[in-house]
Amino acid sequence: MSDHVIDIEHLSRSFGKTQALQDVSLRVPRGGVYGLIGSNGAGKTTLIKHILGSHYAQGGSVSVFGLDPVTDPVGVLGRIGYMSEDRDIPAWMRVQEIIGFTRSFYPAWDTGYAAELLELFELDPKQKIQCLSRGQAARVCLLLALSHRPELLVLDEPSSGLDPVIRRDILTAIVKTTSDDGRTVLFSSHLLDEVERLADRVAILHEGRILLDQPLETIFESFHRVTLHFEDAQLEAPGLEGAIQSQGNGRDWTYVYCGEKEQLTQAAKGLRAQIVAQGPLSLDDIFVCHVQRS
Amino acid sequence: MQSIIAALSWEYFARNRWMLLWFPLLANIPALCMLVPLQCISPDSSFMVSPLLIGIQATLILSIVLVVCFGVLQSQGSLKRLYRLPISTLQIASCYFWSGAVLVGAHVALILWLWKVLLPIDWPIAGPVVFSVVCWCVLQPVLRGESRSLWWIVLAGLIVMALFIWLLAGHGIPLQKGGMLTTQIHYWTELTPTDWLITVASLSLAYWLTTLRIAYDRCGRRNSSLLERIEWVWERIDSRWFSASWSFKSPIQAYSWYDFLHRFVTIPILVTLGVILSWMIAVLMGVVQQDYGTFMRIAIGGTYLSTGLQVYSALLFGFLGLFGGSLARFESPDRKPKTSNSTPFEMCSFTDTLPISFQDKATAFLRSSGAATLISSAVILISYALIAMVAWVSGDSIPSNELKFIKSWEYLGILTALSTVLTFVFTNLKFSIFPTLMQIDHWIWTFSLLAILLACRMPFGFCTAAAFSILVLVALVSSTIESQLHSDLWLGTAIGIWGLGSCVALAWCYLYGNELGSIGMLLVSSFIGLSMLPFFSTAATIRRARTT
Repeated sequence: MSDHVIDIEHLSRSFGKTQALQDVSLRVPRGGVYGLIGSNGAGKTTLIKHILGSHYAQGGSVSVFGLDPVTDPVGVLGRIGYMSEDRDIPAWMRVQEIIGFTRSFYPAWDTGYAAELLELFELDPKQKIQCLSRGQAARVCLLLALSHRPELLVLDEPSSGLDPVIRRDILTAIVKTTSDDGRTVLFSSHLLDEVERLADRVAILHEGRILLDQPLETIFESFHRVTLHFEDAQLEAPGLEGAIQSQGNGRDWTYVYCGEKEQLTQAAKGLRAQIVAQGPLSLDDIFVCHVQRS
Repeated sequence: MQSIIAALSWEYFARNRWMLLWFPLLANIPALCMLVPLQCISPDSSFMVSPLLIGIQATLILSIVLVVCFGVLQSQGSLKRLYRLPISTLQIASCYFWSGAVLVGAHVALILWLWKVLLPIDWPIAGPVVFSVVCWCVLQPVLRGESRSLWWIVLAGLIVMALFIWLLAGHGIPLQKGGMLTTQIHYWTELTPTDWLITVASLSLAYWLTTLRIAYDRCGRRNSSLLERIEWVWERIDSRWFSASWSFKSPIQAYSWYDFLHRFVTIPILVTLGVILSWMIAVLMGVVQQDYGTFMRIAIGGTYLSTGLQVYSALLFGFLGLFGGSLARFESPDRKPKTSNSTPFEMCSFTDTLPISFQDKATAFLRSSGAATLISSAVILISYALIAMVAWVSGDSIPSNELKFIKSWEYLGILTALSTVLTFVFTNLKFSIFPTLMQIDHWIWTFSLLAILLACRMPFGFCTAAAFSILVLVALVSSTIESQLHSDLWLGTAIGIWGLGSCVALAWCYLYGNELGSIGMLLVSSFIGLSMLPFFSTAATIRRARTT
């Protein structure tokens, strides 16, 4: 059995003149939570649709559980729980109807767990979907995605429409529980604090390309904000190897640096500068730096 | 931008320039299907200007007006997007109400003018144009403003019915027996003061009501009609009776249930309503007039019309399905629910991600369309059976002197069988005809045969029917091969379908060959072929459509 649930190699996709994905390679390891972040139109949903087999790969290949999702959709989709960004579920059904309907497609459906989630999400089984608020519809989608206890949970912007309580407490708990059971969660989000809280590994997607794909710990260890004090006033930011962004004037310049701390000390010495301040970066800062740099 | 009106106009035409072209072109198809063959088979050119064509003209006018109105409505989209702009409600209503009226009138005038130029017909333009403008305007209060009830379909139907009566009156066709055959019928050449009065009154009332509905909708105020209130009560009762223990035996059963309610349930409902309504009117009129003939005439005529309704609704919704619409949630622009994101082939992202094989999904689609067809046909047959029972009890038969078009019970049986086949074909339009039209090699065969037949100086009508038959046959053969290559259908089942279809077609031609003639036999065989086609092509079409 492969250690990777999702294996994407050099995936490219365009829609007319728009290049949605360019040479994307991504490996999602079994177990854990994988966060996919990117600005609007970065290609997150397109990538997810390739994983679900709704789009075929124009270039490269996509493999999920070692299967091709386009040619074997039943084999792949039966093991995936998917929550779409647009919460597109049939509006004319009642909550209980959609649960009964969806249950028939998954042999591993856990009726007890579904009932538990129904109660947890405070959903009325007799309510029609069209009468639900966006947040309630999101909860129904989440329930449907989770109740068959999928090996891979794919959540496309799961927080969209959910209130802070559900988002922070329940969603976090569900994602963590799923991951602790040895299953895999792949989720895309704009909310970087949420990704920071939940994800074990993060990929930054920008304009159809993967800019960064690393475990969250490694990212935080690698990226620092550092302020250097130079002996002489500088008109431009002196070139610091490993720096991905710089800001300042005169003698004091602040860098976003990616690399080992020892290397940074050596590089600062080489520039005849002193490290006067050094601190960690948030995921938000790292994301913005990468996007601006690209 | 110079003004709000200029900005809105720019937004409208920039977004809809193609749609405004496609729908008028689409509106020409019924005319093309009816007038071109008529022109070819008519003994002389005088036939094309004879009053015999008045019925066809009236039907075609209604057809183009409805298609053009639908096109303009679709192009305008929901007015909700304008609610947050700093524009008064009166401006919103006026802009879309009157510009739509002008567009509809202009489209209809252009189409009729084109027919006049291209075909040897001399049909009036003014009457139909005024009719189209009134049609557009009186439908606006029903189609604008949010309503959670589907009763608007019934209301719109009643309005269209009333408009059709006006159209018939414009042509001098009385609503009596043999109305079409009276000598008073004429083309709608001049607009009488009554016509102008109807126009002005209906336009004023419609404009006022539309503005009111938009104003209510804009401020979030619900103005529930009586029908909506009745539905609300029904919803409460339904909710109370609703069973919480829902289960299906298999994915196919679940998907059939979903597909039936999502797409096809409207057909049996419409047919049942049509039959019930005709029976109610028949009993009422029969009792009031104390006349058995009146009862029989209305009951048979109503059921006969319901058969037409079955085929027409299947055709209409079949076409709608091609563009991603569905029957059960056939929404006007203002009613599209916020969660709706329909795509061609009814595959929303939710159903698209359910683990069901293409073969099982195809089976589910065929079951649901088959169920809708059979239920509606059963309702019609039951109605005929009840009428036959009444006739048998009263010792009488069909009053044939009053219903000349109905020759015998056998004729009604054949008609119902034909409508069943057509309904099944149309409900599966997107899995049978549509994929066929997309295959260039199918057209090569068709045009080759057409060219050979025309070169042999065969009659044009025969050539067209033969080309259509070849198109269907080629599609059927290629779909069968494809279904076997992908193991979509068991070989025994495929042989069974071919055997059954061939037997039915041969039996039909053997029994009714003389009445049908060569063209009729070709067409009937083609439709039987088209009813076989979805069994082979559905899984392949779903497979192609799922992945983009």
